[in-house]
Amino acid sequence: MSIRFELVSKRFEDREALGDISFMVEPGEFVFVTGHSGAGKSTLLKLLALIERPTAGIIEVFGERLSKIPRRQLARYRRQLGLVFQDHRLLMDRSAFENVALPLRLDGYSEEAIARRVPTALAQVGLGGRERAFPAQLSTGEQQRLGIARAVVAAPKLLLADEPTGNLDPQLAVEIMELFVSLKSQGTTVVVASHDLPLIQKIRRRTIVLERGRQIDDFRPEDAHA
Amino acid sequence: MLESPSAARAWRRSHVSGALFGLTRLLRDPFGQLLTLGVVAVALLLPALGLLALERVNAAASAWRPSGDLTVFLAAGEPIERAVEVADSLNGRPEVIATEVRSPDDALAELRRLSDFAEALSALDANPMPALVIVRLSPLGAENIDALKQELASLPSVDWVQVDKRWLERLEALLDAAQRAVLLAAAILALAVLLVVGNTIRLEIAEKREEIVTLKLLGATDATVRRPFLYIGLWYGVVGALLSLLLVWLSLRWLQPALADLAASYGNDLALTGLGARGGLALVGYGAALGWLGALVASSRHLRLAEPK
Repeated sequence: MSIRFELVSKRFEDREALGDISFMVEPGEFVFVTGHSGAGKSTLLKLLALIERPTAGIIEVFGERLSKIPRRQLARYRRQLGLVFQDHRLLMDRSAFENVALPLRLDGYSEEAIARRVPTALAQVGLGGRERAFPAQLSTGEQQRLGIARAVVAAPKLLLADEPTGNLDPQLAVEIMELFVSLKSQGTTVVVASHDLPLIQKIRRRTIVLERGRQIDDFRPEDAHA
Repeated sequence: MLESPSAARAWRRSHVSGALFGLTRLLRDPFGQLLTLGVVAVALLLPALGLLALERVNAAASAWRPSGDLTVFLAAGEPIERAVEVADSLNGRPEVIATEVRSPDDALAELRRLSDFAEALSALDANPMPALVIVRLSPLGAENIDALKQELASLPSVDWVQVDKRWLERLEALLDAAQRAVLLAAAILALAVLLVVGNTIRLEIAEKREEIVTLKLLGATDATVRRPFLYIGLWYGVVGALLSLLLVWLSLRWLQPALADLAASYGNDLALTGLGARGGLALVGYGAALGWLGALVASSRHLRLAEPK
């Protein structure tokens, strides 16, 4: 099992962001989490990335109970993840190459491996040849794709993407989703938070629907792949 | 297929990139960092000059020690030849620089000259003064002055031995007090360095907060995130220490003529030789350690506040 949520709740001071969420995700599975703005999609991803801790319930990732991971082990846990952020979170004073190389450098890959992997990851998101560009020289959509390249470059065990196609045109959004789907071949489990229903319908994968912090549906289209 | 990651390589890489980041941060805007560097340099300069001065005064004190460290009074009636024998037995010993024999007549004449009872002394039937030997001690002798006094006092021909080391004790007490004052000043200035470097690092962390949060989200350890800031602190210490070495050299060049004149008036020569290679390295190491420590204290506190939300 890649992910197990059991009656997970998250309460902020003045409101309940998530309540009694339970689901399981198999290794290599692709899952959409959808819902309106404020439904709790981002909070769910933050719980998986250990940016937030649940108020109640159990979360397990790759058999490891997240509540048992101490602060000093956060880095080790997060190096298994690929994170795509809504606000990209790029380092503006580093080139596209250096941004994408960051997870590989933190993991201690050799310079040869980095030189090989980074251009490939950039090419996968349509930024081939833009290695030397700085984020400020890229459009918002290109910055989004740069963030995606950084998330996939180290072949993470779990990819968490928060509205990864928000700034992309529909065709490019589909290509990015296909890239995510293709990560199954390397065993990556993918959780994508998105409110882009046309895209979700087009990709046809398992979808968990949230509404005001509650899980109201968890369905797999009849012809969906795992 | 990706090759295996290596924790050792990641560790090495973060040190190299941290060191380079710290240095380029300093070089990118050296004049903007002058205040911090200046504080570090002055904080190292003052104790360095103080300790240097103490060391030289200590060395000079040995050379300037006045004659007559020990005065050996022979028993009344002992002939001058006995005093010569005592002096001969002392000459050539490592504790002794020179000896001087005074006959009873010489001693009486000196007493007449230095005191107000010249007339009273003339009324005496016989000379009450004994023969005496004035012993000028080497630094080794000064160190072992009590043992030497005891040895001489045990000679059958010797009545008593007078030790004149009060000035030495005073000088030593003065030097000890001065050394404590310098060390106290060094400790206070070291605290100032910690605070100034710490504050600079705090500002750096505030400026880089978003980058720090991103690095943590990507799986950077606290140590990895902290390392560049530690190197900034280290470079502040190193460059500040190099600056202080330059200031020490300039200060000594400025002080040397005045000190040489002073020393010449005592028939001595005094060369301020500076810290030397070992002293210079020690100062740079001390500066580096202070900068590193200031950065460590500040980064440990402020990096905890830069957490992903």
